[in-house]
Amino acid sequence: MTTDPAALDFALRSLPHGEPFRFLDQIHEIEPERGRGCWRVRGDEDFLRGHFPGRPLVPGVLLVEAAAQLAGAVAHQAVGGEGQGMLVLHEARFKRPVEPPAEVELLVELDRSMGSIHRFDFEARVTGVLVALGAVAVSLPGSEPKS
Amino acid sequence: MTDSQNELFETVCDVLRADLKLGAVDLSLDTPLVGDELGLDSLDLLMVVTGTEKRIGIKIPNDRLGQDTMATVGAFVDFVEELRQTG
Repeated sequence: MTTDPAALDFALRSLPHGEPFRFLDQIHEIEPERGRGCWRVRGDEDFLRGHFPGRPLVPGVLLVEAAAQLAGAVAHQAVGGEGQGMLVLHEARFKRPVEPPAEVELLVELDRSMGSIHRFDFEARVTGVLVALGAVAVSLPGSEPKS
Repeated sequence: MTDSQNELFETVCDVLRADLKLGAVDLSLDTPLVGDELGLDSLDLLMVVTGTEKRIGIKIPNDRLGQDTMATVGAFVDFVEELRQTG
């Protein structure tokens, strides 16, 4: 397990996403097939103005994107590739609404890889309470096994 | 082909037709999963595996998936049937 801050920072910086579409704020630990990180939702993000006016809720699809960003970092750390991971498939159940501000704890575990596609199971929790779970698959060009 | 293999063949066909949106495509045991005939990519093959897992309630070990076990619909059916039999 990697918990070295410099290595975790490197993994985070391997993501191609930039502001305002970077939802993964920190990676706490990373293993070849597993990672844990968080997204700190401040409450002043622009998308919350419309989702929803007067009752801001974190869009579930962005929880999925945050999990996919963590999955991309784990996959890149494990198998390399060009660092241009993209979400290509997801399935999710949203158990509880997430009201900002909130620290969303994310956990991803590799289910399987096929070619350059890496499928992870994920969970998202706020103060330990499960708010979403499902699976994300990320495409990482250049991460195919060498034949 | 046993009833169990027949049922599994129908399950895999359902995954291909419904999950992968191939519609009313002709499928047989000899239909290649890899190659140009169905035009499946890595993501499609991943969906074949996970869709089959969900429908029949087993976990297919990743390290046994390959060009031999996924060469054709029939090869995949035989492989999964063997997994079911051996538990």
